[in-house]
Amino acid sequence: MEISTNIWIWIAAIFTLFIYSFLYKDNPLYKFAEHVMVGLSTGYYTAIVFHTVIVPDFWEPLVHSFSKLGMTPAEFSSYAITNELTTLPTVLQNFSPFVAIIMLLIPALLGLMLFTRFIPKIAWLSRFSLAFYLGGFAGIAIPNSFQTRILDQLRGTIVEDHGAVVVPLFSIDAWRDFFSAPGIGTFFEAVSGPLLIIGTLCVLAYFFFSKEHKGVLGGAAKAGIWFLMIGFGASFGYTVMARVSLLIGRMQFLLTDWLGIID
Amino acid sequence: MSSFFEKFLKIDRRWIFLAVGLAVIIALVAPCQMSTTITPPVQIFHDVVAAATPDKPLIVSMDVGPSTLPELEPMIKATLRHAFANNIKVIGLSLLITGPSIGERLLVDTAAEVNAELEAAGEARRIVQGEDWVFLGYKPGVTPVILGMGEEIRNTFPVDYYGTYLDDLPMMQNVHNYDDMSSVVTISGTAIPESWVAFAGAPYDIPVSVGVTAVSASNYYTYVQTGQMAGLLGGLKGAAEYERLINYPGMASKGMVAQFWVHIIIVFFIVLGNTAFFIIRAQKKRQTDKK
Amino acid sequence: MRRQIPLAIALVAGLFGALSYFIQDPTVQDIREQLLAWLRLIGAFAIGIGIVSFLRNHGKKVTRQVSGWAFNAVAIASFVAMTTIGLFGGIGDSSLFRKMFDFGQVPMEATMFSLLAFFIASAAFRAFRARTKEATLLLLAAVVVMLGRVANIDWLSQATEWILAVPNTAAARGITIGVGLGIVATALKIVLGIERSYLGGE
Repeated sequence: MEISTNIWIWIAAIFTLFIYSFLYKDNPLYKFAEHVMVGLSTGYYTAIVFHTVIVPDFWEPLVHSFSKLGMTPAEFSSYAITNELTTLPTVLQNFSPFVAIIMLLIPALLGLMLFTRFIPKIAWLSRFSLAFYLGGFAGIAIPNSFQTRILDQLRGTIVEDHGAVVVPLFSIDAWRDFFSAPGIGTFFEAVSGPLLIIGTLCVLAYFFFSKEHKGVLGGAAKAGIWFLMIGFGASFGYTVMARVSLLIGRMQFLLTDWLGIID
Repeated sequence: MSSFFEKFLKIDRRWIFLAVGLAVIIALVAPCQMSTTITPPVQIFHDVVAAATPDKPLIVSMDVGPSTLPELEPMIKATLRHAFANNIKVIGLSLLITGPSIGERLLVDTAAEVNAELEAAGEARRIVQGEDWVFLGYKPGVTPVILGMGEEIRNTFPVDYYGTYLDDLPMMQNVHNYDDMSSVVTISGTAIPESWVAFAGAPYDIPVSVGVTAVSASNYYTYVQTGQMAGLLGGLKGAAEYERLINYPGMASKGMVAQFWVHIIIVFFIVLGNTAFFIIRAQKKRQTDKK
Repeated sequence: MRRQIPLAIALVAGLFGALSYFIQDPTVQDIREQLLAWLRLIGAFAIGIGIVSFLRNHGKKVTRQVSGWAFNAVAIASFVAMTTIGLFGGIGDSSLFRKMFDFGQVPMEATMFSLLAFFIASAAFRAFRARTKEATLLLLAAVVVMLGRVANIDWLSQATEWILAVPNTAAARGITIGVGLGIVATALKIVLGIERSYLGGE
């Protein structure tokens, strides 16, 4: 057993134990650690955004543009390419520093306008930024979501890719193999595809609330619930593993890095 | 008798906490090994990374935070070790704000570990920043970042995390967009892998291999079945399987024994709780029938 | 005008974002690149909203000296310390900022989430009951998956993989398609101005 002499490891271990004290009952040590964590994480976000986005993507290109205000568009274009000012517009073949400044100030202004939400009298200004931000993201999301979440998923319910060969999910060959050589393996090979198709349709039937779940739709919805229960059970089983992994990670830190009990 | 079971079900939960805590500590301290069966999604993940060539780097998107580190750090380390061992270059980045500090540490530490092993083996090759790996850092937005890299990576990341222009980094000189990269590996505890599939995999046809926490893993089997995700590492078990495939006894493999015992305890609690519940219910029904 | 202009902006930005996916003209793609660059920069400022909310929330509690206000002061002090060190001391590998992140924020946040392992064990004993046929099916699937993922028993691992690959995939696919339809519908409503809740009141 070799207890660490690193002050930082001790700080981490002490804060870890403060948080674990909550398991006995809520107490000031836990509250203290919780509030320190909240403050540190907010401060972390501030510094990271400043150094990785604001400075390289806004401030430095803005300063360069102001310092080269006297250049012609062709000279500035050549300067921008040589100095990798890639956040400046490529939409114009030859752009002037003045245009570059405008193209940087517009998103910065839209970003700053978001903060007007905190001032009731001028909160309406934030609508412009939100409209641009949400409208832009929504528009970009439409074709991509349709492709990946709907079209590709529907395709996967009909066929499956085995390398370069496309195989239907409802495979006559798989059933032929089962009947010619009956066994557990061949049975599951044959039944899995159709079960996947039926399961998907039944789950979609369950989520179709525009019609009352009666008759065929009701039966399909009921079957859909069974598939959903299996899915949620699998998800829960996995979730237990996720939570336990977090606990194992912390214990590994305490026993390895802090107390040196295990390698 | 039913009052015994009723009291039993109302046991102070701190005894349950103690049982779980002790199980983890004992399992970690006791010297035990567990073998791991390899599942098809992990095998696919391994094969896609192995298929990368030295002239086309691998993107490793390390979208991790402190709350997902125990599951995702072993996956990132195993992926980096696999890449470095096979002479595959790595472009590291993060789309999550907590990712850059963690990602940089993992790249630097893994490269140092591999270099130490190469030196011990008497090999001349070394893993060098700028030649074998670069770290681009973090940019916010996810969707515009992924889409932007599809046209020209320099539009999104003009410089790397250390402020060096990409053209000054030897391995980035002929790399401009997804056409110049072999595949994307996204290790995340959020829904970011779905964004990689939607905005890189679908429009630019680059394979996207995914490592996620166990919470999300069961939802992504649907993408693995369609081939939209080229392989899936799910939680600590997935990381342990990948470590076994690359012959690396990492933290995931060591943690699986503790996983086993805690899972047994939780199943035991479920069975115990339900047994007590059914006994109480049967006794109440008998009492009601007697009346 | 205070509502019409933002709705028009959303319409133009949204339509361009959607249609530029299909139009491969170089000028259109250049404008799309610029749109993406603007969205990235606005996103960075949007993070500032969270920071201002944090300061307002904790600052109010300190100034009004509500019960436990000392903890709120600790939160603000930690924020000021981390921000100052990060902005002026750099964020590099060996910086004090990184030490505070690696040995302060990371262990505490990880420990906070690891508490869930204890609570899930407690919930398993006290709350997970097979009251109905559906709940029984859920619990059975959960137990098979839990044991199959950790125990090195061939048939159990195969059963687990089959549950994940077939019934679980069917359920997840139905949900994914439903979510996809929801995303497309909501996005269209935002672009076309039918969904206006983000504009707030007058």
